[in-house]
Amino acid sequence: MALLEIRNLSRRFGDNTVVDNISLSIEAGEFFTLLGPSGCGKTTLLRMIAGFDAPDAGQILLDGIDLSGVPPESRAVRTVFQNYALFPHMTVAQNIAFPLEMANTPKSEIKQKIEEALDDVRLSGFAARWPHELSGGQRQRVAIARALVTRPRLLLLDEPLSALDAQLREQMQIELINLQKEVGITFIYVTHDQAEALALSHRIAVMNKGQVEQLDEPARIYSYPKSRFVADFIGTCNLFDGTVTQIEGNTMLLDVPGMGAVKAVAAPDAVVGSQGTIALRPEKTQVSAEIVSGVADENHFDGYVKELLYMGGVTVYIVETEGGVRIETLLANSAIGRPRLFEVGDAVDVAWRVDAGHFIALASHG
Amino acid sequence: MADTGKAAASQKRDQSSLARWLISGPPLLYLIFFFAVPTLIMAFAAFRYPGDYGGLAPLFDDTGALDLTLESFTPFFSDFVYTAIFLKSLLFAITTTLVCLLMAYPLALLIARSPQKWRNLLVLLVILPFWSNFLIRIYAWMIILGPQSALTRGLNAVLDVLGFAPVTLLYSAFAVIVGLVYVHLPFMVLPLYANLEKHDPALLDAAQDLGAGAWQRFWRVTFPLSLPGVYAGAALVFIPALGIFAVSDLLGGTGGIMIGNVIKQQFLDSRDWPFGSVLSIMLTVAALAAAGLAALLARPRRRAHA
Repeated sequence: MALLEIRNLSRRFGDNTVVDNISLSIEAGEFFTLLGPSGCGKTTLLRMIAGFDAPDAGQILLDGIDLSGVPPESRAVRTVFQNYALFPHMTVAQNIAFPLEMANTPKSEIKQKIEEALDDVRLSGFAARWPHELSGGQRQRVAIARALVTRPRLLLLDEPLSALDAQLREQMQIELINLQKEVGITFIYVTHDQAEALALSHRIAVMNKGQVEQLDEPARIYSYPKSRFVADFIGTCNLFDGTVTQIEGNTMLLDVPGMGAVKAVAAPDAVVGSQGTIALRPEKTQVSAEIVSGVADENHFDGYVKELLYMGGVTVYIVETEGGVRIETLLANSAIGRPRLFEVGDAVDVAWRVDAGHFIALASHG
Repeated sequence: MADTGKAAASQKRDQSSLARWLISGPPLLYLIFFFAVPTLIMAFAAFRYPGDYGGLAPLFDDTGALDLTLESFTPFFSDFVYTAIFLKSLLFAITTTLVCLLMAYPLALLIARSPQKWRNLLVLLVILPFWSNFLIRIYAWMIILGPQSALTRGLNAVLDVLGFAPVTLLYSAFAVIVGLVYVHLPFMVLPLYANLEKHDPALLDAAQDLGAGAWQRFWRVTFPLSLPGVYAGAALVFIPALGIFAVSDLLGGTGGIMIGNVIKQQFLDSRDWPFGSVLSIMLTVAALAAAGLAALLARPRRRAHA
């Protein structure tokens, strides 16, 4: 039995369907992420799991028990709020003691549990501090310790790292992964940051307009997006829209306006005449100064470097083909003695292996 | 270069401190001349002799020596009547403060938790009584509490049925408290509302998420966070309620006399300015003590001992 099961859940605000018939199940011990742009319904879904909002239709089951009508204070679910929501009139220890006191934990146990919780988040010695004396990262940890101290079945995290600066965020990501492994509690993590989702999660549900577009492991979401939206939302992606003109064995040809024939791996759901998109990650391309053509299992297009973004370790080159199609490529700055491999205006050949591009049939959303 | 920068910076500082004085100077002077100096004059008057026909006796006697005395303090500390009235005024003011708090808190909470668009209207309703004259409003209470009012007669009819003797509401300590609460209620509601309105609703969500029911959310989160508002409101009610004389004059009768009435009597009827000044000093000291206590309680928390 799944730990948390969501069945046909819907929530409407007026005419706006914010959560649209979502069903998913989350296993015990999972680090599960709800990923999507703002307004996709992820926070509403989280609030319904916590009990702060009630669905218009559908069910939420925790350990097989329907949660409808169970108020937030009675659910074995804890939330880490976006701005931590630490009680400013209580010390760190008092904040962490709060849920224990609400659960009528004996006084003798409380002290020890506070120490353990602080130890979990590497804040031993901070018990007597006030929230306003802590840095953002420390407050975050106190919020997590406070939510975990009663060992809930489920921990909900609502964009918990969004208020931290980039460097601290990365450090906290690693700590979150370790912490989740250590305590073994199921995490449901809400974020709009795709890099964060990919780094943290066991599984990701990519949400758009109240629906789950794709539910999969991070690597599969990234490499095999099921829809144009997922391909576009996760990382950077070249999207070539075209029509299938020929299927031969493992390979098929698409006619892409501005590029001509593009080779791709034959998709099981594609027939001649079906329309779709080839999703190609910039880092899966090769760029060379030598113009090549006629390699069997590769696509080659020549063009000029139109723009570049030097990023230190890597450079992003936007190559424009003769037909005016822009292909984004990403290369490590591996040349010795010069900062990058190409300059704006260089004539280059962009190539990728047939199996580097991923075909998305048009039927699976526009 | 660095020196020029420093000089420019210090010039800028000078300018801004000049601006500060220009802005805060006039109100400061106003307070000095119309509050601090009169208070000192009054305090000094407490040590002088009363004049033969009211006012104060000459500062220097016939020999040209300073003519000061502690005589006016004697009645306050020796005559139980004044101490009793003073203590009763304290009791009235404390009762008024507590009743105001009990009535204002739910009201302020209601306003703070109502939809944004309603809040300003509700606050306006709280201060609406200020639009009509204070004395007229107290006179209205004289009618409401008077022996011929529907309230009094209805109450006495019920008491009669139950076998109790009829009561008079007007000219009693009860009437004074009613008037004091009525007059001061907005001064409790407004600071409480200002405080409660700023509370982060996420804190209540967090408390609920962590297992707190409605009652615990109030006592463990809302109420402790509202204490600065409670202290501010208590000071704004207690201090004026302690010194007021109009309410007790109109509603109190003989049983409802407060220290403010006695001070008024000393200056206007008995024409004993020094003793009036002594009583005023006592009142000021009590008010200062209350304000000091409120400030002490409302200051940011110290480190816990945990």
